[in-house]
Amino acid sequence: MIEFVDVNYVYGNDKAVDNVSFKIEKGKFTGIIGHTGSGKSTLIQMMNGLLKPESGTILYDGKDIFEEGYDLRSLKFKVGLVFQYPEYQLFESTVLRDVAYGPINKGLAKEDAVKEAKAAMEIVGINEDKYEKSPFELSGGEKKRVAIAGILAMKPEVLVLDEPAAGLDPETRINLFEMLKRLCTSENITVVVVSHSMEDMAEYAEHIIVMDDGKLIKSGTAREVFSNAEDLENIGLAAPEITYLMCELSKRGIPVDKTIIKTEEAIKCLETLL
Amino acid sequence: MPFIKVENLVHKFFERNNEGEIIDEKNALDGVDFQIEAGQFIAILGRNGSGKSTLARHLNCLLFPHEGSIWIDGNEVKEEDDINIWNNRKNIGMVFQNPDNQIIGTTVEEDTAFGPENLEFSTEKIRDRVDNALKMTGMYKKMNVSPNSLSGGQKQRVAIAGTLAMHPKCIVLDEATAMLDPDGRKELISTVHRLNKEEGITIILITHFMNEAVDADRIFVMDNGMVTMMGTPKEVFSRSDEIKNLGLEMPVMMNVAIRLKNDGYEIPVDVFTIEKLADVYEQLYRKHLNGE
Repeated sequence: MIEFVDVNYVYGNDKAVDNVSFKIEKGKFTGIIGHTGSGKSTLIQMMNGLLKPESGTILYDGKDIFEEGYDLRSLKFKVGLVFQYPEYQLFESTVLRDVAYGPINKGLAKEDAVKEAKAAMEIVGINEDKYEKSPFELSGGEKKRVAIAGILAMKPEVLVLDEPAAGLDPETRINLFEMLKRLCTSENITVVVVSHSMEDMAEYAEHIIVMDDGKLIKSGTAREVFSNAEDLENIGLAAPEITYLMCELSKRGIPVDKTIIKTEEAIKCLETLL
Repeated sequence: MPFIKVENLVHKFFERNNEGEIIDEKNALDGVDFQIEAGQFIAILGRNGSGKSTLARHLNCLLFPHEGSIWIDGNEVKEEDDINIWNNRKNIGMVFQNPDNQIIGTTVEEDTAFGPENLEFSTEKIRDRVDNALKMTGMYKKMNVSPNSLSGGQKQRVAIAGTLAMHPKCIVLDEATAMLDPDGRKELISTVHRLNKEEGITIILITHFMNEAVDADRIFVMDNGMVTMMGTPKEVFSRSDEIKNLGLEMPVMMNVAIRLKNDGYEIPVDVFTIEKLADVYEQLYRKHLNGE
């Protein structure tokens, strides 16, 4: 779906993205992890052509997005970008108008835009009684979901989110990730999430890209990436707590599977041994 | 007298129409009662909109009670008592969520000196306080660096240093780890624990991360503008159904222990650390091997 080939991006003297190559598979949930300043945000802003790399190629569906004649405007609708704290970007007088803004901008008639907006809000779980409210009356989690609906209403093929769960309470955070998982499995939308939460990424992402100082350190399944705690710690990250438990038990000679990264699997494994 | 005493605290938010007339009001804090002894480490949990940040702003005198009262260090907070308010702001430092919104100096040192400079201390006294604050937060070596070049965790430690330079008795951290990467969170949490243990500074940590709350002396859980649960981490998290109903989740290790217990295994559930869970599981496992 999206492919980066030897991509470089430079801010002043800093190589923010340093010769990075990877592929994002269609319909998958991909997580991007890395410490602050490792290049994650720059990376995702290149995915829809918002930033242009210094060198290298970015392909969408096999086509070079920076080749002459490529329709970059329509790519911006296909790859929807949800920035950190998207709730600060709500601006319309009502929730419905805010969500319909994108599809209207895309060129849809008002009626159709409203239809798309309503469909998007149904997906993210914003009920009808919220449509005519001011976005500013909503709770933090609702605002975030409205902002995501605004992007979904443009019918993107890929949804890219930068730290969508920062500042959310556990229940709202879990609901948000469950919703993203549903978008992936039932709406066939490709989801890319940048996150500092190793626990959430282990639970929800199928594929993980690890960034460090602008370089891609690793790209693999969540299990491959997270079961290697030491490599992650060396670059300021960590494995999920549950994986540390499995490693500790294994060290004590108990034959558990050290590569387990999800709580449910761990419980199953612990119970089979008893 | 406890260090902080809050009694029946009510804070209202008013909704106004275009003419500025009040058309609706809502109690963001709806009768909050608690006491905090000097030197304690308190974690405050609760879903978004439950009143945590409003409460924090009251402790720092950024907001004042509509009803009820707050005593800090023996004095009742009164909006018209300027001296008392300044003392409280000095005594209770605040660190907010976004590290980038709290930095004002062009170097780490300058940023840390901002508070004591405003108090018009002598140069030596300022020097002394800044050096100490930066040492306590592990940022002394970065003194001459621009805050912009720091990581999120380092920026938050500079924010703490800025409050430390005022010699506070208490620091309130309002979701100060929300935007940090794993290392940054670890740095910040271990820094506040050290300040609590070694300097005796009272810590009030507002967070959505359960594993940051498990080492607190006491946990307050807020919901709908009230403190609905209060107790040690063991007391609070052992009420796992209520925890979930309040929009929270169980700490990972305790969750595993409870699940094993619910499935019929004999295992204690007040387990918060990996080490402890490994210990109790190992016991179970060895017993099982011995056919017990």
